[in-house]
Amino acid sequence: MKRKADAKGKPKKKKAFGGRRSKFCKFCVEKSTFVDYKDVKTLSAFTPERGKVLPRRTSGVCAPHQRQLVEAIKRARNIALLPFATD
Amino acid sequence: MRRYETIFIASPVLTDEQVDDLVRNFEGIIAEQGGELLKTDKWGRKKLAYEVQKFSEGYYTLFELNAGPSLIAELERRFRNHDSVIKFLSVRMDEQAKAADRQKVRYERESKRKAQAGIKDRSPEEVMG
Repeated sequence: MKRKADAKGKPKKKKAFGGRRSKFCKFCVEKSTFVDYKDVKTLSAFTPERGKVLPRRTSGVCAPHQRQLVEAIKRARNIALLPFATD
Repeated sequence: MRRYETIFIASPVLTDEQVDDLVRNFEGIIAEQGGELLKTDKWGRKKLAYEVQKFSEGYYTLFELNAGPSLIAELERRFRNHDSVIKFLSVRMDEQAKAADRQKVRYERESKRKAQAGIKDRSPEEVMG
């Protein structure tokens, strides 16, 4: 299904992946070849509130990229860039 | 020689000059042991995501280097014995780079296939809208 390129009306709000819309793998779209564990901004988008890893069924990330992402998140946790858990 | 990235966190009780000294000290060790330092990146004082040895802040420093496994072992031993280093992490990057190359080839093949089939690649902006 093709979406309209220039949607009129109110500007689309950037919603987290929990919102209802078609899923896509962010890393595939960006043709990323490596998920960097130092890139806290990207990683924290996939670790909501409690600091757990967002499941694939919610984020839409493809399997190969999810594996890289999990590795990166674990490394970031090790060096205190991301929390293991937050209450 | 392998490609590594090593990050260490220095204790927040140090002053900026002391951290610089510490970094120079480790750079010296790398040079002395025959490692090739590619980049030193000082991130400065940053908040930690959780408390480490009761500290909630620390000075991050990143080394990118070409080295053998014995140098990394030696470097980590020194980190462990140094009271001012509260945490460290070494990651081997050369195998990752190889995997990245393979993936790049896959992406190229995919886009070629799409071009032949007449499917237009959607731009990132369009997809993420």
